Amino acid sequence: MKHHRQFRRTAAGIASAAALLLAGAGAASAAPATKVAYALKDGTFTGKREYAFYGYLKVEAVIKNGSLTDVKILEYPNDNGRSHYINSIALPYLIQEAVDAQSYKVDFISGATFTSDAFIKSLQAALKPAGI
Amino acid sequence: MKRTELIMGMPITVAIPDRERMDGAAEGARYLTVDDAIGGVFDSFRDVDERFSPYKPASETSRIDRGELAQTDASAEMREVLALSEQTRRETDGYFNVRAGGHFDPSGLVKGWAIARAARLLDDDGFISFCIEAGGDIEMRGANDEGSPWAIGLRSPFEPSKLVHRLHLTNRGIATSGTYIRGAHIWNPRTGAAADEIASMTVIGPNVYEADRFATAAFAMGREGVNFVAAMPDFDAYMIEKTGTATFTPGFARYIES
Repeated sequence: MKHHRQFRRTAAGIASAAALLLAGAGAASAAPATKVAYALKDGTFTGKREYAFYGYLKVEAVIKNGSLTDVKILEYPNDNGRSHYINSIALPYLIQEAVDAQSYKVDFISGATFTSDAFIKSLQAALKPAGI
Repeated sequence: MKRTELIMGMPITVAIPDRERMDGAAEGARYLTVDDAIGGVFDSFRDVDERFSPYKPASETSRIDRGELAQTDASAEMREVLALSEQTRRETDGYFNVRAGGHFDPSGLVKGWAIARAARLLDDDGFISFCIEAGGDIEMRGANDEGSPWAIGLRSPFEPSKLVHRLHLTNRGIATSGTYIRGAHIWNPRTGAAADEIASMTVIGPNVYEADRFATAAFAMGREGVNFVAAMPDFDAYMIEKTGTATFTPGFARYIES
């Protein structure tokens, strides 16, 4: 059993997640990720509305003291169409563990990230007037 | 060879080991090279986007929604999706409904179906090993470049750049439903509340279409979702709660690298 960890969402955490997403964009995005670390114009900047198949996504970037401090999601694809409910059956035997994240070498990654590209595009548009 | 393109608003990646067409293609094969085959998979996703997007006015989905196209006059692909939607509607007691909210929108099924359809294209052309991923949902066949089962990372919903586990599996489909970046995007239709106690629900099934639709359903059910999947033969689940606790089926454990 792994050690239990506390997860907290902070503005810095969100900003670094955004930076990681930018870095992860690779071939998909034109803006070099390293630029996020440079001084930016302070203010709140709204990104472009980006197509994400299930709907549209739009973000707002907040720059304070030259750094990206928060990314707000203004519009998110509404997934109501995907929602469905199935009656649950008997309680089977299950295993529990505390989640512990690390780095591995893998061929592919499974995760709910279908909007990440729209997120990156919208964020890039938001950061343009801030000096990127 | 591994290539990524952005289609349907998401990154789509296809990997086919180069050995697959090392000695050329069999007579009658549609794709002469691995590169051709990967291009064929991307074309297949582009077709799906044009035909099924509810956000493209000229798509069949939009034309059916506006009443301009009768379902019986729709393409074979649309009629297949409609039949699968009807099947899922019955299996979910009417909770999955492509006409929910007064609009026609089958996109809940289309991603998983599109991956399975692309995999069929490669199966039919004699490919033994490949991996197709669209927005985090994956269909696997055969073995990777090293000849081993595919190594699949389970993304942490708390730290998107990190992985919770490395899995080894093949000839299966895997799909994750979850809420990265922002709050819940799937709703429990019974309570009308966001299914927000769960951070992510990963389902492994006989193919990605089945894994995807049951991952979505199980996620919407909240913590009961893992029980629901556990009770289904041939399906396994790994559920991560917002508290950082993971609950999974014994069958899932055999895919986890220890």
